[in-house]
Parts: sequence; structure tokens; C-alpha cells
Amino acid sequence: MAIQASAGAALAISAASPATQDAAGYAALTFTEIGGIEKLGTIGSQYAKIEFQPLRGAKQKLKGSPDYGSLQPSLAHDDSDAGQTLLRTSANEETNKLYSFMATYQNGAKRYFQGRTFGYPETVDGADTILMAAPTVEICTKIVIVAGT
Amino acid sequence: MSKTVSALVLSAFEDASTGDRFAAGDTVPLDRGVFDNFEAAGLVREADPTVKIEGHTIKTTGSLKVDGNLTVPAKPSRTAKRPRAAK
Repeated sequence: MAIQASAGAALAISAASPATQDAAGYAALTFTEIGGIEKLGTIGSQYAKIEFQPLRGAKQKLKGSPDYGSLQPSLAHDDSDAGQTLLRTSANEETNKLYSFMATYQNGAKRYFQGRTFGYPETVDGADTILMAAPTVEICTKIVIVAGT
Repeated sequence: MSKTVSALVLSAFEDASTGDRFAAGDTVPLDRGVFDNFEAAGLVREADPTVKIEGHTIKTTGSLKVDGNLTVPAKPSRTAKRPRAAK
């Protein structure tokens, strides 16, 4: 059975950029894990759909431009967590600097990419809830997939 | 190969990667990659170099900048001839 639980998955960030956009390039970086993550969210690119409906025949569908997607993790805000602090730094970045990210799954599989954090909104809900954060990381490079064991 | 950097901790924090906790004001050795991430986050900076002069050997941790003159007294050469005492 090759299915796996989400438990054990992690997200890490690096201020550095890989020398090459491949597994070796990313593996050479040092990542700092982002603590307190409740959910990672959806990781994956999506192609725009180009449609053409001829007068006669079925609708034709072609793949358009790829959008590498965005990551919207949910995490318990922690001022003292180094990974979260670096994520907040990336959110406050006023330049278009890219940060590197590494998502690790339970079986050791990895998803590497670079992105820009477009916000780090904090959610203060009811009395019996944890103060949460819902950052949005827009993925700007092709996602490098490394299989698990 | 990973170079170690002597880092001054600017504010207390925890590294979820390792579970290590750091207290403000501490000076800790960090691998360069780890240091770069923490420095980018504003959590650490490179510690000021400390200098120890032991005899004629200068040992530093970090880079050493000298503002002004650094004078090290010359050590007598072992091959130098001693002046002969007048008979």
C-alpha cells in the first residue's frame, strides 16, 4: 500500500536560492523548518484551459500557460519560531526576492520550489481558539519532485 | 563542507528543525547555511571577533579588523647572533 497520511509532513524555508533548479540544487541548501503547521494546503501547478467550440463537432480543449499555484498553510502563530520568523520576513520583503521552500511528506518525498510570500494575516478567533496565521506563498518556479522511500 | 560561524543571538527563539532553543545574548557556533537563514530572519548576527594574544600567536574567532596600528613586539630570532661580551 503506497498511500500515506498527512501526519508527519513538514514545510521548511530557506533564504538562499539553489544553484540549479533541480533536486541536487535544492538539496545543497539549508532549510529551516516552519513550526506549528496545522495544514499545508494544496501543492501543484495548473494549466490554463483554452477552449474552441467549432460549429460542427465537439469542443476542443488545449493546455495554455502553467500556473505553479500557491501554498496556503495554516499555522499556530509563534513569535519565537525561527522558521515562522523567516516566513514573516519573506512576507514583509519589499523586493521580488525569491525564497526557497521544501515540503516533506511522511514517506520522505519532497517538493521543492521557490516562491514569494504575499501576506501573513493572523486570525484571532473565539476565546477557545489558537491565534492562527494564514500566509499565502505564490509558487514561482516549477515544482521539483523527489520521490520518497 | 560547512563553515561554522560564531553567531550572537539577538532575541530568544527556537529552531523547529532541531528543537534547539537559543537565548538572547548567547554566542553560539552555527553552520553557515543555518546562520544565513537566522540572520535573514533578524534573529542573529555575526559575533564580534575576540582576540587572544598568546606570546606572538594571534587567535581570532570571526574576522579581525584593525582600526589603527596593531603592533606585535618582535620575537628575538633564534638564529640571531648574540653580541659577544667585551673581554
